[in-house]
Amino acid sequence: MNKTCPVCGGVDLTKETREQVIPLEFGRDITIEATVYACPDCGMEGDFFGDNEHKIESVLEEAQKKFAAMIIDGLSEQNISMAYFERAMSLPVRTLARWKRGEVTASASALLKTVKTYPWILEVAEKRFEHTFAVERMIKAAMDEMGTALQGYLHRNGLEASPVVVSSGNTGFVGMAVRPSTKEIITKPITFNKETVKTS
Amino acid sequence: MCVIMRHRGAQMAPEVALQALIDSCDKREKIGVKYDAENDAREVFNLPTKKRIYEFIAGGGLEAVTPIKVENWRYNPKPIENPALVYSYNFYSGSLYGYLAIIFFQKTGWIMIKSFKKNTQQDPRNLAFKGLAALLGASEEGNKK
Repeated sequence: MNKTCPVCGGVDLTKETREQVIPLEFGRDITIEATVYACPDCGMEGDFFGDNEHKIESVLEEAQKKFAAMIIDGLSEQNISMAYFERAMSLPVRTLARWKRGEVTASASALLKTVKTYPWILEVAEKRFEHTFAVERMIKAAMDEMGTALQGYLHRNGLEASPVVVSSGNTGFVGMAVRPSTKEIITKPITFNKETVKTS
Repeated sequence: MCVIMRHRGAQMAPEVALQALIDSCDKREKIGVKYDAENDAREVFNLPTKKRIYEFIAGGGLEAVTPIKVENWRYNPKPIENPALVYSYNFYSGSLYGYLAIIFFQKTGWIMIKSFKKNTQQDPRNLAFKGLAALLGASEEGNKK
């Protein structure tokens, strides 16, 4: 029996299958075969009868279990033990083991993803989310990230950097002196600040 | 400001149409989502299924909703037998500035979510500049001290 368009009552609904991308966390999207109805009378397109709902929910549930196991497995690589995680977050013992087995809720999944993205949040939790410590730890994490990014940039461009500290009275300045790396100078002349550094 | 275009048939106020949408989402009755709107809701608002869209709307997820305009649904194949109006709104959800358009079928009471996407208009809150202003303010305070 032909299904009717719930919008205009048209009886000539067409049904087709399309590839549909379901965006998931950490860029691990999944593509499903989605059913799409189209009404030639009113031009409306959609999953009018909820054919895809169950399929998408199943994909999300599976992904949630998979991510939980993946994140918990990855904790050991960051030197984070399950016992430490549970103690810092005030979770009952063996909670992570249950999550890893697939007994994971949406809120548990959200916590795991937060810790994976910001592992230092465990240190903040351990200090009972004390504000000053939390802010300082966040700044340290940001500076570490900046340092890593800067190191990568310098390396790619054959440069080296040294910290420079200038202080006078109560005022201080912390900066960075950048120069061509020693290795580069020995092997070839480098153009830097529009001047050629001559090798000796 | 809401612009009311010329239309056929009786029209309800945008606020009433919005409440009808919330009620339909709550009861999951006479409500549908257009294919493109479902994709945008999934991509932009992290609402992967129709069920989650309905729960979000019924749960008061649309914040500071302001009506934009009301107009006839121009692609209506049966404008006389089944008149339909399109209501459009701006809304917020956290830091996102969204755009919602629904088609309201006056005879059947059916509501179709036509658009549920990121608003292309400039966010009147100007969050980025507010952050900058706060920083500048803090810096000026520091200089005064």
